[in-house]
Amino acid sequence: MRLVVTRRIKPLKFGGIIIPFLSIILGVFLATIALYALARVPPGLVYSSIGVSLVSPQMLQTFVMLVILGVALIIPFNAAIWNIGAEGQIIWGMIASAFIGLCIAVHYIYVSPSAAAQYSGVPGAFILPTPTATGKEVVAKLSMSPQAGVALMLILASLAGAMWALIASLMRAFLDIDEVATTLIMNYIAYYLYNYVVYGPLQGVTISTSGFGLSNPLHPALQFSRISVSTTATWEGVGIMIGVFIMAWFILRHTTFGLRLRILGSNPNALKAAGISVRKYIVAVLTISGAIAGLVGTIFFAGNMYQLMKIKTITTPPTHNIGYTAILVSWLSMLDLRGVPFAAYIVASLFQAGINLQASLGSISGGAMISSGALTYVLIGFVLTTFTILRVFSEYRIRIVRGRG
Amino acid sequence: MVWVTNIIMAVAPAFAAYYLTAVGHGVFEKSGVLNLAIDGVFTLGVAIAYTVALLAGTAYAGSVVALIIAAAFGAFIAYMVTKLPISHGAIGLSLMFVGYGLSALVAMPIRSTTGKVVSYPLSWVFDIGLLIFAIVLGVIMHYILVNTKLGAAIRAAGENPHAASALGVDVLKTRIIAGLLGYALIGLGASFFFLAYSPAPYSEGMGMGNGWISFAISLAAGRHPLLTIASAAVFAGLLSNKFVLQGILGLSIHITNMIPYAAALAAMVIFMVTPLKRKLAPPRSLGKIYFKEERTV
Repeated sequence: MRLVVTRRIKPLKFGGIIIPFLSIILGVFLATIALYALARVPPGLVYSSIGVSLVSPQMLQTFVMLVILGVALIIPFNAAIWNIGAEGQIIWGMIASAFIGLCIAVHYIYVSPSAAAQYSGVPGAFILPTPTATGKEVVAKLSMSPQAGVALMLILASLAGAMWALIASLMRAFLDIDEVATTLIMNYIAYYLYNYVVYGPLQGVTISTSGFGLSNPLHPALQFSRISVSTTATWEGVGIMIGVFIMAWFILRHTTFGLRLRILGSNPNALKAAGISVRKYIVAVLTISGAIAGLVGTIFFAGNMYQLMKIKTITTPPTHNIGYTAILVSWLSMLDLRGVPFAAYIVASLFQAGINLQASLGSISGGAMISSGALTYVLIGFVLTTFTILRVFSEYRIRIVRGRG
Repeated sequence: MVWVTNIIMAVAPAFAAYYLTAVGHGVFEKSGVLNLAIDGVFTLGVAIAYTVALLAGTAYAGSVVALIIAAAFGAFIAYMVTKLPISHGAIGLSLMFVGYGLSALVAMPIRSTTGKVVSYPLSWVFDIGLLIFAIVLGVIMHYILVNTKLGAAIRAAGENPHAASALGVDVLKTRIIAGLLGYALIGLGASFFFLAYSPAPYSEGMGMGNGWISFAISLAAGRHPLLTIASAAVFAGLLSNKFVLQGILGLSIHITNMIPYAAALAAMVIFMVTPLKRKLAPPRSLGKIYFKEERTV
């Protein structure tokens, strides 16, 4: 008995839909087995966590970020350039937005506690929750209009993300160094840089923040506005998501640039033969990808965190590893932009399921010993592995033939 | 003489862990399989070494089981990417996630009941033994790659699997052997990372990121087992003297944490822009999907 692998004449009908769904079901099933066998997590709890997550409004914020990141990654993936460095680009986006939001868009006035009262209720003034080590109250006053501050945050975050991706793209384009390895390694550099920043240039001025690896909190006028109380998703985030999606759609489908980058993915020699600089395209796709990922840094900072907080261990970055999770989104969408929202919805549910599962485990055993991140890794890891293998069937046929020869 | 033993004790365990992992990575990639699962399996190896050593009461058992399970991952990856037209990058990263996730699950039951840690003896005799053991294993790997039929088959499968197959090399078998050998070393390296280098009370995700450091060590030496001795020694020295470095250079701890990763990038650049490139270039079919239009396996 032997296996025969042949290429299909036409890709499997509806393969783009059947295969992702089949892999999700099979992957979740395998993950459940692993969770039960190794850590005695009741399978029912896993399924109910996933079920709850599918309709939970809490996953909306994850969904928004995954759509943006999915789009960010699909652009280079279409050109067969693998940006594994979204994590680092998001971190740079966070640092850049924090720099604008905490240093440029506001200035601080130090006043004695008795004088602080006169600032409460004054438009544009925000008294920081704790005083400085010398007992002075700190008042943050806007130096510009909040709209300008938010716009600057987004612009600088985008530039910072693009710049971080640019380094890897230049190494790939001019030195032929594999971008998978460089973008990955640069994530770790970004994590430590972030820690350096929260203990250094951007550390807070008050007694509860300075030296504790915390920055000042963001001025409320610069914070994004939540859609409703039951979700952390923001109007600004949703707006950015729609804008990025439309822009990517236009670039990929309606411009020469988009066509050429897809040719770069399938046949770079054809592009070279046509006299087009492949290097320029490698640099362009990675930089665009980094620029979009950088925006997510602002959404994190101004929409959720409001404050930079040190990374305690490298396994728990403030991004919650969403930059890696987004790789799953762009793969599940079969590199088709239309598939991104659907893939993001499913992955956001799995992501949320990890958090929900950890919460319910915690209430059972008293103290949860597995982090939600690890639970999410198990779910996502098995789904991704199953999908990677099953995906072969959309373009190839595998038959079992009896006998030899 | 005290300072010699001090240096050996400080650097040898880190060296052995990184060196074995890096050599394992090199051997596997020589067969043409892009190895991105390394950090996940390394993290899993650390968790297994911790758990098994504690359950069995001896550190050796931890190393053996970590070796076996890691080798199984290697064989699985080799089998999948050779038998089916699967993207090497995709399967590697997927298994990395699986490794990260499973590592938390494996160590969870025992970690919730005890804070105890079983490790290798903290003596300079053991450390010298470990150092010699690691280097001997590396030399054996070099010998296999350069002087044996199997080594020739591994290199051929990495350079041009189609030509190798036409000349009678069983590419699938060769890559599975390379996967078993390579990942056995990765599992062993991971076990030494925990049991000999940093036997601290286990916390989730321990070892994460060190697989990538080994990845960088191997790339910096062009996947050559003997040159890897030098790159691993430099990295292990840098990492185990982080605090000394911090004092001498007056740098922030966060910047010294960054150095190994930045050094890895720098090594890759130096390696690609100097004449070394021609001598130690990556295998020509590394990460390429191996597929013949109509074939039987």
